[in-house]
Amino acid sequence: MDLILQHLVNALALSAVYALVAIGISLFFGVIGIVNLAHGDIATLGVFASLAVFQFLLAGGAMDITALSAPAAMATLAALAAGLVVAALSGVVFYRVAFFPLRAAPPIIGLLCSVGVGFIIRESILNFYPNGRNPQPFPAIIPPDLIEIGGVIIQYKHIFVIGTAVIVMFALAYCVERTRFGRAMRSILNNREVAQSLGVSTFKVTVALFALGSALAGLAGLMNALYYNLVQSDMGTLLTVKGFTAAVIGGLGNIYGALLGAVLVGLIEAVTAGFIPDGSAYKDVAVFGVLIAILIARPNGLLGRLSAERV
Amino acid sequence: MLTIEKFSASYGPVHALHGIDLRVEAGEAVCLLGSNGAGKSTLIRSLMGLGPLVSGAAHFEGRDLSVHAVEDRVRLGLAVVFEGRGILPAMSVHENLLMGGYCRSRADIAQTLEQVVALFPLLASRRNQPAGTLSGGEQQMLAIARALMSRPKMIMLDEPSMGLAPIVVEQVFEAIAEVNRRGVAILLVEQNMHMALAVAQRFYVLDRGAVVLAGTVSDGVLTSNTGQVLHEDEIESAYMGEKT
Repeated sequence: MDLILQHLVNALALSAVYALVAIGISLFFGVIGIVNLAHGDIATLGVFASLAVFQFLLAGGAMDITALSAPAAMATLAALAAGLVVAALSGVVFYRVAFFPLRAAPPIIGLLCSVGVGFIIRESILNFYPNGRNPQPFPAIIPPDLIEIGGVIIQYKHIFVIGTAVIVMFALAYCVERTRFGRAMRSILNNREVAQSLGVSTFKVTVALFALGSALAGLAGLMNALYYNLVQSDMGTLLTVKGFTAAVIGGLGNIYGALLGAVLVGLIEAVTAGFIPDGSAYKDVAVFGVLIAILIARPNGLLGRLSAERV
Repeated sequence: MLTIEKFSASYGPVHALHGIDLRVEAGEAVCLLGSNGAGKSTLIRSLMGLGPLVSGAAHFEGRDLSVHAVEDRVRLGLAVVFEGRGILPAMSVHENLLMGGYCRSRADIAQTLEQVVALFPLLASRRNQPAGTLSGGEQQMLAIARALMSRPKMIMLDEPSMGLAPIVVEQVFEAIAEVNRRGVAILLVEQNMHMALAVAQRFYVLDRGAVVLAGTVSDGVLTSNTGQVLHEDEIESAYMGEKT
């Protein structure tokens, strides 16, 4: 029982990261009809922006970032904020420069384009970031302490990652369900032309959505970096693959589907790694096996797009 | 209010509309009759900025529509009820109405919502239901109510009777007439000639992308622009392309 709970905690931490990536992939698909395969690389950009700020502030050992002091807290906030802002901005630039001009082209062109953008981001970090070819340590700003509840070990970073994700999810659900922006976005998902005729600027909404979704990806990247304390130029590829899988399992275009898919992917990974001998080598096999099974049973994903329109 | 001159539209090499001239005055209800494929829906879609390439001019209250993006036309006072309703199926009835007032202020929306719900009380009881679960007639009422939420000066309706039972069609047209009585101009595109002529003060007949007949309706008497008194059968044959 303890072991099961322990795996559950580990799984939820993974799920939290995947969910933040999956939501962007899912909503972007809903609004522009293209799967953005550079989404995880946008997260990497944010992480490296954050790392750059950290490295700048820590240069020469002038500051102890883990110390409980006001300057250290400010520095940490500045570095993390830089990561989110850079991710959001690069998402917007990416949309404006790559996807927007291709909006009338077949979706496969946009898909290929996103693959290209992903390459550009990874190779740029590899070649232009100092020591970009090697994995780099990310400051361990979360204390390595842990608490034990009934035999289950919960690290502070588990609490941080899961807690942050839960708070962000509630905020996001409020934004989507209760705000003018959320309604505008959903109206585009329902019927693009009708949304336009009601006065919704699809361009403005899409730009805002890319800013929001890319910031969430950046947050996922940062959570990943803080969890493993290690970053590298191709860390985004894994995020894209896992986020995309979660989004497809849940049903593209549906935010709650993305969430559900992410929880499932995290659970399957943890269960495979924990309960099958040598399972960690096969956890991706298990995830994609389940993906295929779900797509056979429900081709539009678990919560596939609602289309109850009567004619 | 709406003036259309030499309006043409085509889907690639196929001409859907050739040189249409049409006008709608403030507060007027005008119907556009014609059979399937006569170009009626194309005209509505083009006026809303969603249609194919266009030559000629369309002005709304003296403003050239062609320079306004789709999402800006509703701000000019132009609203549309699409063929097949065009409701947002996965959003609730209330959210559909809120989206109708997307370009208006919060206080404005609250006030308009009250008036609109008074006109369509049925929508109040369905408030939190996904719009896609409403019946066809209810969806049509919702689409008209949503159009009213933007406080439009003119509403264009594309085939509001389509797919509805006769009794429901009557309710829908009663609602359209009521909206018109409240001073909103109506451009009604219909195949159901009898119902359309009961609401309209003027009519145009469209056949294969061109206006072939136009006239006025007064107390059920149809008069062509050339002064001839017409029978409904004659209008029908005009758009069925038969010579009378």
